[in-house]
Amino acid sequence: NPYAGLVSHLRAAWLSGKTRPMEHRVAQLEALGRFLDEKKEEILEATALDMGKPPFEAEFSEVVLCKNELHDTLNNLSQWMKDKHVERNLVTQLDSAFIRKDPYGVVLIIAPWNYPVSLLLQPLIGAIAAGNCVVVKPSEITKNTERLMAEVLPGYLDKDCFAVVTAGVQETTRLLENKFDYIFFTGTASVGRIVMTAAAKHLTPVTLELGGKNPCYVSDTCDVQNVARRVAWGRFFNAGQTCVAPEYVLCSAEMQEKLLPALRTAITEFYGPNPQESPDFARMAGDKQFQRVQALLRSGRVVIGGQTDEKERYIAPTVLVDLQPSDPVMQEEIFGPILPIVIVANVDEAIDFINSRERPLVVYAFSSDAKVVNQVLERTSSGGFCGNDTLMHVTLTSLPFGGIGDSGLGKYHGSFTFDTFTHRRGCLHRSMGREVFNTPRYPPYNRQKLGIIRAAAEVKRKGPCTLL
Amino acid sequence: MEKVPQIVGRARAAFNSGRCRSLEFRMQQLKAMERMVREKEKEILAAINADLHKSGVNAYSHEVLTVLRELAMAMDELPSWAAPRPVQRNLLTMRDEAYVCPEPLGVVLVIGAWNYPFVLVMQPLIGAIAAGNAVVVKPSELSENMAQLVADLLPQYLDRELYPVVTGGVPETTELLKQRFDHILYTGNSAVGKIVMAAAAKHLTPVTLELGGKSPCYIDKDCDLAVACRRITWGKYMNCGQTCIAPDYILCDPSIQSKVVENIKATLQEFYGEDVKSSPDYERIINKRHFKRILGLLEGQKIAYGGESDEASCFIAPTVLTDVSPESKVMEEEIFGPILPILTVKSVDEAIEFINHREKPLALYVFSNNKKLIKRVISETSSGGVTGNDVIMHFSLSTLPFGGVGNSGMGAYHGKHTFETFSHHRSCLIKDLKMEGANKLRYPPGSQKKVDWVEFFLLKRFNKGLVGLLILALLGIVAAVVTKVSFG
Repeated sequence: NPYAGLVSHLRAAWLSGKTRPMEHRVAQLEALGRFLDEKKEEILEATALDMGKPPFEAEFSEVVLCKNELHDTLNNLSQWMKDKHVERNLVTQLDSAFIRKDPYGVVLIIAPWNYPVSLLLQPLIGAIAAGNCVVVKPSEITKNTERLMAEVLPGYLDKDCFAVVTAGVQETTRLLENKFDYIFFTGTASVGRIVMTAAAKHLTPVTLELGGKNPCYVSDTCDVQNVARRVAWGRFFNAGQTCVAPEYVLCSAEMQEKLLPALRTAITEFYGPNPQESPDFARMAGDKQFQRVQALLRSGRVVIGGQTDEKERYIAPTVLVDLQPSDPVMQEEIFGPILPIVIVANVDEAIDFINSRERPLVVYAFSSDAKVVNQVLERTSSGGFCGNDTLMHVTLTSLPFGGIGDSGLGKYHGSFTFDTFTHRRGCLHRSMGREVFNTPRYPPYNRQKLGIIRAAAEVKRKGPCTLL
Repeated sequence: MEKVPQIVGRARAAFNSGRCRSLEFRMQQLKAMERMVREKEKEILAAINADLHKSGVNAYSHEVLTVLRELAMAMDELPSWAAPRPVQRNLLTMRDEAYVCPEPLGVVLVIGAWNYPFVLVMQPLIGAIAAGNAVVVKPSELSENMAQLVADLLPQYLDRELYPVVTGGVPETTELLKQRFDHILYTGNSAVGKIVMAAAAKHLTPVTLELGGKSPCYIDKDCDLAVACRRITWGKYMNCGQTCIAPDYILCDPSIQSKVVENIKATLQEFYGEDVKSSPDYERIINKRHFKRILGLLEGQKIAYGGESDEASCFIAPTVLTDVSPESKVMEEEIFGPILPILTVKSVDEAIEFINHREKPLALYVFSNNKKLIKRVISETSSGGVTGNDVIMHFSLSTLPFGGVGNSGMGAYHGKHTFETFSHHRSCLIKDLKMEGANKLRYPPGSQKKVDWVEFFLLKRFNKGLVGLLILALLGIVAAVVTKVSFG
């Protein structure tokens, strides 16, 4: 077991209690803030080298979002750490009853390649805030960022309590043989199953942030140009390599007629007449990713884009039409800059289409009629929902972010990350006195004792008179 | 009996029909359950008595009372539990609707245990129904009378398609675990817990595992021994020791060990009289296999009190062991029987180290007049839950989440926590299709100016408070105008 030494080193630090005091957690979090500030250029450079990430996108999604989480955490940490006192019943009225926020111990975070900094740091912030020791495994696909994380990040953190491990598929399998007290994984459903199966051997709780095909319903009543801009932005951000990107559009044939020119306009507005020359459009993160997405171009008919350049791993912002639900582009998560449009007659057909498939990470619905948006919300199920925009729900730290079914289990962001890495321990601190009140619970039993217990424990239904 | 895949398939079709989503429907089912518990009280107590030799009074207060209490709470609180929960917004989303919507997960599986066979099936079921799910119930086959009763009663009172009962043993449970559920709540031991989680992993099904372990009980020198020992005796020997949160073993200073034994002896006499076997208030071991297992733990031990047994009736007397060695068999597995080992430690430091070098237990108990010492033990250890100066009682306060950590389990339930466990918390952000001006900040082509503005909008530098909010609002208006002018 090549990682046994590392894990036991961190476990020794955990048992020493080093990561528990607030001062230590704050110091580590502030150090992460300094990493984001001091190494911003390095982050932008690494992600540009790895996948042609435009500097604006990189700064927004990799740096600003993390700083957001960091500030939220530092502002509220003392509040989150406090014992939460709970309402007591008659029997425990004079006791101290509270929920203690205990760290789990030594936790593992496995990060993906699409937002290699942000999706590593965001969970890390919560894990540190919750008082754990952390092993972090950045993605081996984005090599420059992996190197940055492995070589530079440890210098900012307490090396006894935090470690960065670089590992490919084989090594990660060995890493998962070790016992961790929590595992946080972001990636695909198939690897998610492997992680959870490995976790089951040690009864390790997990959070799995997976993916799926996020549907985007566009109703006939809407401001077409605004819709086109928001959908195009969400789809083509990071060249489509976003777990919450709109994966396909559902709309009527009439709407498709209006949407196509509007999408063309939006794409040109964003990236100019030749997106390959725009500094604001990313590339596929690896050759495997490029080939997989390129193959999906064969589904349906290309109406916008479709150009590719293997040397640069460039795929143009593309819109496909004339699709069948069985086409490959409609079967797997695209995770690339391709937007298929599927025709549905009306909102009911759209809802049925969505409900006949695996529950996605997010459902999108666009309409100027609030009732239509609400219908889609109420009659579908998904990790999250965003009406009349794309991606934005993940920037609000007060909203829990996670999937359902094949799109994941667990949730995080803001205080939810802290909660993810915290064991909420129910504590009741009683007094040794007042033993006389305990008498009814002791044998030998009789109906009188039962009567007292019932009276003390039974909850009467709330009636009109709440004074009694 | 119908095949498992058909039963689960019917539950899923029933869930997809949407009829269990309305609050009225859920309330109706909960009311029906309450009627069932009140009308069939006699049958319920009789089944518990047949399975565990438990007196009616005992069974009522341990199991039926808890179920009635949870039902009353669920019915009263359901509207507020199920309502959308608005969240705090930032500058960018100030004009939007942002809330979390609790939604049903779908079809969930509840696997009960045999030691408290009624409440361990009903308490999860109440929360799962309240959360709007279809629920497949699998009572433990070891408590056969209760399993049969649950299978008979539930279809008489509740929707038959949405809440089917599957009875049987390992083959039926294995078949159930092959099906796809949207959550599984399992109560039992760690070994089977791993099997449940591995099966769940194939479908990416979230799980709540209520397992067990050896719950330590530390008695400080500075405490009222008579009171402490009475409380410990009550919690240890209730249900003949077959309680997941029973104090498994005692840690105390050698100087008080004999006093502890004396007090426990005296209390046992008080509780069960001279002849424990004839007390109507003392239960039996569930079956021969566990009877033999528990007796085996006595091998090579110094029995300070008790030790009598009778295989025919699965009777084991309340037993206390002294000077137990940490390496002995009785300290390897969860006892789940009426044997109380006492191990001596010289200080609270030693006790804490002892506890921390073992698997995390479901419950932890500490008795002391010194509040600081109790706080220290809580802070320096980990466990599912804690009761200080008593045992068991944290279970009975449903505002406290009840569950384990590490080997003792994952997830929690009771009261509102059951509703939360069986709900999906769906984040919802509803924006306006107009007001496109503000969005121009984020669209390409990018620029440093745009980045600076985005940072300004997103980063929470403002403290809450009325002045902060007013400034925020003013800045929002200013920012909207500025972006329209600069980037419009």
